[in-house]
Amino acid sequence: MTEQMIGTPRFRGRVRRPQVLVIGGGLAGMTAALAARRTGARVTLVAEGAGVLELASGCIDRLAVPSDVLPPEHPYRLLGMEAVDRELAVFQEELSRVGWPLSPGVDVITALGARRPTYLVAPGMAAPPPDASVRVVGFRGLRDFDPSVVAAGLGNASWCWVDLPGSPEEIHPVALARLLEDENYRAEVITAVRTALSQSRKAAAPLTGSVSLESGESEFPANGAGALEGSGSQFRASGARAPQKGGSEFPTSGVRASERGGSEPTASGASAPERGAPESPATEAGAPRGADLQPEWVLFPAVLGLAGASRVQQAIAEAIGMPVAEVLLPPPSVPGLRLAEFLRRAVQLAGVDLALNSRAVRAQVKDGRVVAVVCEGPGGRVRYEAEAYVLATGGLLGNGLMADGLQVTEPLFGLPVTTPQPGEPSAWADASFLPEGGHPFVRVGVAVNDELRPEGFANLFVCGRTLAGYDPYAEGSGGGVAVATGGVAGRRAGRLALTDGGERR
Amino acid sequence: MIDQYDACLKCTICEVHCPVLRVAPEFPGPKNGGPGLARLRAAGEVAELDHLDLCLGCRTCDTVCPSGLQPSELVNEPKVRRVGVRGLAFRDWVLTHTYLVGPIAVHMPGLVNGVLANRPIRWTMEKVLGIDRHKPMPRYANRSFRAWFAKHESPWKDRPAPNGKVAYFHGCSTQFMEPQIGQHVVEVLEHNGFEVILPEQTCCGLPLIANGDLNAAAHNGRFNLRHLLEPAEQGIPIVVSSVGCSLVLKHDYPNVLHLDGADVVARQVYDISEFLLACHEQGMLRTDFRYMDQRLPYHQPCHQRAQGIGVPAVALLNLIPGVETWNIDAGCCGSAGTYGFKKEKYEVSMRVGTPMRDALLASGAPRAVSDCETCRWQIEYQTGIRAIHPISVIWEAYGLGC
Repeated sequence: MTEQMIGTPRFRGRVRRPQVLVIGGGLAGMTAALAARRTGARVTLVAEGAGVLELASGCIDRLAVPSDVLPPEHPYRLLGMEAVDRELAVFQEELSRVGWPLSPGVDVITALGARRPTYLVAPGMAAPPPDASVRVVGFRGLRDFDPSVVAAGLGNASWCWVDLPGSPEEIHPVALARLLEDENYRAEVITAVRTALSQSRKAAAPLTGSVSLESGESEFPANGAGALEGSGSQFRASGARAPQKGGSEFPTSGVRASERGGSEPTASGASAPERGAPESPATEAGAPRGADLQPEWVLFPAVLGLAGASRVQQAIAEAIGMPVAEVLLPPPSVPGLRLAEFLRRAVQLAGVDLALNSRAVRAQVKDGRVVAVVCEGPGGRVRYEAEAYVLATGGLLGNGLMADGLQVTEPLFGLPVTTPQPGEPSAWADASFLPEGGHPFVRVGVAVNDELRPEGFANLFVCGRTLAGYDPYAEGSGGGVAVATGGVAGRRAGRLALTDGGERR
Repeated sequence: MIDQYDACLKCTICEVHCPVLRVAPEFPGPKNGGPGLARLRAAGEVAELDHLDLCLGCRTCDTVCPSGLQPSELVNEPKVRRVGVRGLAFRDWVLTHTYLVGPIAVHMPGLVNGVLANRPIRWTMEKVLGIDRHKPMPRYANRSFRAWFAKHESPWKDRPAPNGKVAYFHGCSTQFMEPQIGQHVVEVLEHNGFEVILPEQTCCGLPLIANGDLNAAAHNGRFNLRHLLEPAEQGIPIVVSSVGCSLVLKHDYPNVLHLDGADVVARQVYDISEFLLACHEQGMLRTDFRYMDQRLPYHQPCHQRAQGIGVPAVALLNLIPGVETWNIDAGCCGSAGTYGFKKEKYEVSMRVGTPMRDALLASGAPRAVSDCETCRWQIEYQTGIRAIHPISVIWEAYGLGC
């Protein structure tokens, strides 16, 4: 009986046969794997290391310039803005399903006190309304966060330092975030925060200050501030300099409001408040109705918990009786880590086989079809034979594209890379450091058709930073392009694998 | 390995994911303790950092590094140098050589287990040896796995197995403490038409590597390779039921210990779930599973994740009708082999494992699945939930116990 049930005796070694193979584990790859899995296909995702999500803001940008100025080869133009917004809504839905509801259309505050518009904001990170009166709390020992700098950038804030239990000389943001999930530790911190806040209310206490009195003491003077911004770990000068630029490149709140109003997908906008429990502490806790009738907000560095952040934020807001918002820190970014962890959770709960520490080293292509991709890790060399493939290996930073001088290549499949004029270095970079339209070399990447397939490949889809034609820094589009192209590429790969692959087998 | 620190971009992604740094702020972390310190060593400085020994050896930093470095090897290097000069501390020698006690212990398990569970004795062991008294020691079985195998009758003893031979590397815990896992491996493989052979073997050496004694580990490694090389050269797959052992056979023999013949053997080594899932996807696995209405949360061992082969146990168990398995993805259990038994590390070990404990308790499932023995012991200690090897679930689903 045993013989009957077993196929021919030829074990082929480390050969795996998922229906879709996604190569790359950043925002685009994770989104693609999720979308492919939702079609019903069996999906494996291979990733050499973590993506840059852990260094980013944990919020998703969409577009900070009008969509009609985008060039025709731009990924958004290939997909159409309607599809882009649909994918962003699907992404939002996927994350809220695992307990991480992103809400649409508000500012976040940077470590330099600049307001930065984003499209999908993480729980507890939505900035207070511009006219709210604000206090900024800093934790002594936490690097890269100075409440006086934030207060100076905001212009209408007071600030204070709080000593953490045990007065550590230095504490890692991730360690502090995890400590704050501990109830006892949190209770001690809350006591210290309440004391500091009540002292600052009495004004002129030695540990606290306000901008008008003490901004001169801050390490970075407000008028020279450069803000870390970033859905893609990008840096941009911003903060107090924005007004000098007339708001053209960095939308002020007014610009933001009008642009958002036009582009916001109604579906996500309407549904967010219903499921928005975790961000509600900030708004529900309310302000004490004392002598001052204006609601007062308290800003903290973004270290209020890891995966349990919603609970931590809520507990703190309730304890101090004021709405709470988190301020972005330079990397390593706790909000980025939260998003990465929830995304990984969503991918695994959906049933994607997640192979971390696996590097795609070789692809086998025959008659315009990818036949196999070979991946290498400490556990051996695995040959994946899938029906459809998604390339999400990143750009020059993620080694999805390799540059040797002005020669840029896509190393896995050898896909043609669109670059500015070859042999003409001046065509690659603008003479000024932060040019209006960005540097041409940033748009280097793999050209694809409107199905996100590179020419000559029937079963390969490309998404994320590997794509040509967009500039996440100048456009504020990094997260949105990753999510939109990842979702479309993954879904197309899944459908192709189920139809085409089913027939071939 | 010496100059890999130059590839470090200081991006901090390893710090963000390091399970020790989250609970022990005094730990220098994989970036400073790894490439950072290596750079100083290369410049001729005598570079030491306090608390670097708090590294679990979980290799999470290797797994998440976007630049392809292995910070964990660099972090281990000062310990390797120290042990190379001074030898292993007595306590660490004891903890890494329990496999020498096994052959005796299985003849008098009642006595040995009783001694190791005795509270005054454990208190004395803590004071004298520095072996923490809290965590129960793994219990020895009353018969070794190889003793079972010697009496076991293969269905393929009179005729050739249709799918050929498979060599089985069972490791120490299966041999002396959990022989039923070895039995399940053998019976599942035989059920699928494989003949199982059992090469001579000793401890793979992972505890020795983790404690910095590379010479002793290489000694064990050479013994194992001597006996595994022949089946490997014949193209016989070598399956392993402990992911720590399989990681060492696949990666550490060739890349850390640089042993002769290690490459040839590594290519043939499979984790048992990896092997069975590959068989399934190649149309070779029997799927005559019984219906089992069970939710089985899976804890992914760090040394399984570090291999870069995905999570085969989850896909494999989900083939069983009625079974729902998912990776709880709650990080390291904190046990890390001998680490959790050390007095000065016990507290950190328990704090590291808290998210895993919470996730398993929240699942409400009566049994959990993991393919590393020290993870399973930690799960049972921290949660009281029974923890089993995935092969045991497969064995049950085939109805082989009946």
